[in-house]
Amino acid sequence: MSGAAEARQPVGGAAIDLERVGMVFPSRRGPVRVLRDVSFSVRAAEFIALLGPSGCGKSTLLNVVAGLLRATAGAVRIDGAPVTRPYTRAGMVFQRPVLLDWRTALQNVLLAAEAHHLPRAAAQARASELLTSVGLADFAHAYPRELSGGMQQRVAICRALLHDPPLLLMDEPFAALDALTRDQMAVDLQRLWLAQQPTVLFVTHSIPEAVFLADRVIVLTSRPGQIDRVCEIDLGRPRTLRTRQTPAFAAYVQQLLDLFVATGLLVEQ
Amino acid sequence: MDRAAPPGSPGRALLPARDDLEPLPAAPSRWRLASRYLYPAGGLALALLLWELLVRLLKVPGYLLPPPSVIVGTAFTAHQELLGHSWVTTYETLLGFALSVLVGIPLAIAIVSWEPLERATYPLLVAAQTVPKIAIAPLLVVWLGFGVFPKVIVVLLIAFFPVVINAVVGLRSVEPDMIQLARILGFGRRALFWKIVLPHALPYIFAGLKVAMTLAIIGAVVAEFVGADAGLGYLLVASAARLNTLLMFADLLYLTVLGMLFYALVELAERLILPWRVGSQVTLAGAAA
Repeated sequence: MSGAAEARQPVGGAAIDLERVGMVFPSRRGPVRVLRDVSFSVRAAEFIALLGPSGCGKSTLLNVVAGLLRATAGAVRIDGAPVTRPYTRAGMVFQRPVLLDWRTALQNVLLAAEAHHLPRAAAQARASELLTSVGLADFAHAYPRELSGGMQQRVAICRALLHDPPLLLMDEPFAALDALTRDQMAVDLQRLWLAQQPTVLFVTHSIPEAVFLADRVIVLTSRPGQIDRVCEIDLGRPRTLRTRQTPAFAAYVQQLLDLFVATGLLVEQ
Repeated sequence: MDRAAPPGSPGRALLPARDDLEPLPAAPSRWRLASRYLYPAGGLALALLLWELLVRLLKVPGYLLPPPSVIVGTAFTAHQELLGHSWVTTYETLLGFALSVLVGIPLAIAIVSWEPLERATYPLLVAAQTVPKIAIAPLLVVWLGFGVFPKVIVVLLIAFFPVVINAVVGLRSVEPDMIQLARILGFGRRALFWKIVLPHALPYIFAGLKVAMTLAIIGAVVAEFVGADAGLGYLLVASAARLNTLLMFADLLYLTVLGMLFYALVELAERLILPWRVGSQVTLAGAAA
C-alpha cells in the first residue's frame, strides 16, 4: 500500500472561515430555516467531521462551503477570499459514487483532469497511482457496473483527489456502504489525507466514524442546524482499527453520545 | 447455476452490492449462450412443422392457408418481384426513419434546453401520441400524390414520437448529484452537455430508436396500402385482390425478414456506440405506439 502516492509533497490545505452562516429555504408551508448562525474556522490541512442528525443541514452547509449553494446570511471565506460561486479547486465526494457509466474507472478519475486541464500524461500516471493506492490497480479498465459499491466509491475519491485539491468536501461518502467496507474506507481515507494533507470537511452521522477520522468534530443540532459543540479529538496518527479499542476512543464516542442523549436526539429506554 | 434468471439477462445487467475486490462472474458458458438461440429456434421449428402437418392432413385449400414449405418455395421463385418491392419499402422506411432521427433528436435537445419551447410543445407531443398517425396517410396522398414522398412522411410521423419522447426523458434523467459534480468541476453548459448529459441519454435514445424502427416499417407498409404502385405493402394489397394468398404469405415473410434486419441494424449501432452496456436493457419510457 505504499508508493509514490504516499511520498508526494503535501499541497497545503485551504483555510476556511464561516461567519454567521444562515440558510432559509422557501417551501409550501413557508420558509424553512435550515442553518442558523454557523460560525467556525478551519485551519489548513485540518480534518473536520460535521456530525449531526439527519436533516440538520450538514449537507447544506457543505454545499454552501463548496459554493454550490448561496447562503441566505453570513459569509464563507476560503483562504480569505469570499465564496460566491462553485469553488472548483475543491474535490467533492457525494453519498453515491456519481460515476459516468460509459467511462472506465480510470477514465472516470480522469474526468477531473479534463475539468482542470491537467497535462494528459501526468494526469494518467497520477490517476493510475491513486487507483493502485486504493487497491483498484486491476480494475482501472472496468466499467462502474462491474464494480462493487465500495470500489465505485473509491474511484469517486480518486477522482476528487486527482488534482491535489486544497480542500476535500465529503458528503456522507460511506453512508451507503456495509460496515466492514466502511471501516476499510476510513483507514484508506486517513492514509490518503496524511499523504496529501488537504483540508477536509467530512459530513457523517456516525459517531465512531467522526471520532476515528477527525481532528475536530463539529456537532450540529437538529433543524435549524446550529453548532452544538466542537470536540477536539486528541488521538495520535495514524489511527488504526486498534485505536477503536482504546479507552480514549471509547471516551470520545461516549462523550458525543451523551451529548445526543442530553439534547433528546437519542433516548435511552 | 441460477437457472431462474430470465433469458437475455445473463445475470450481469444489474450488479447487487458485492463483496469488495471480487471480480465479476465469468461470462455465461458457451452452452448457455447457445441455448439462448436454440430454444426459440426449436420452438419456431416445432410451430412450422405443426402448421405443415395440419395443412396437409386436413387438406386445407392453398388459397386459404398454404403450407410453409410452399411459401418458402414461392419466396425463392418469385424473388425478383419480391426483392424489387422490398427495395421500395426499404427505401421509404430508412429514409423516413433517418428523417425522424434528424428532426427528433435536435428537437428533443431544444426542448430540454429552452423552457418556453418545452412548455409550448411537449404536452402537445405527448398528447399527439394518441393520434393514430396512420389515419393521416390518405390525407397525405391527397396532398402529396402517389409517389414515395407521402410514404416517407407517414414513416417520419409515426417514428418521430418515440424518438423525441425517449430522448427528452433521457436528457432529463441526469441525477442532481451529477449536475452538482459538474458544477464543482467547473464544467460549463457545453462540457456538461457533451461529457455528461448526452452520453447519459444515449441508452434512452436507442430504446426510442428501436421502437421507432419497428414502427417505421409498419408506417411504410400502411402508407403503401393507401395508394402506391410499388412496395411490399402495395404487393400485399394487389395479391389480396387477386386472391393470391401464396404471394401474400411470401410477401409477409419478406416483411418479417426486413423488419428483423432493420431492428438488428439499430441494435448493432447500439452495441458499437454503447459498448459499456452490452447485455443490459433500458425500459422503454413513454414509447407506446
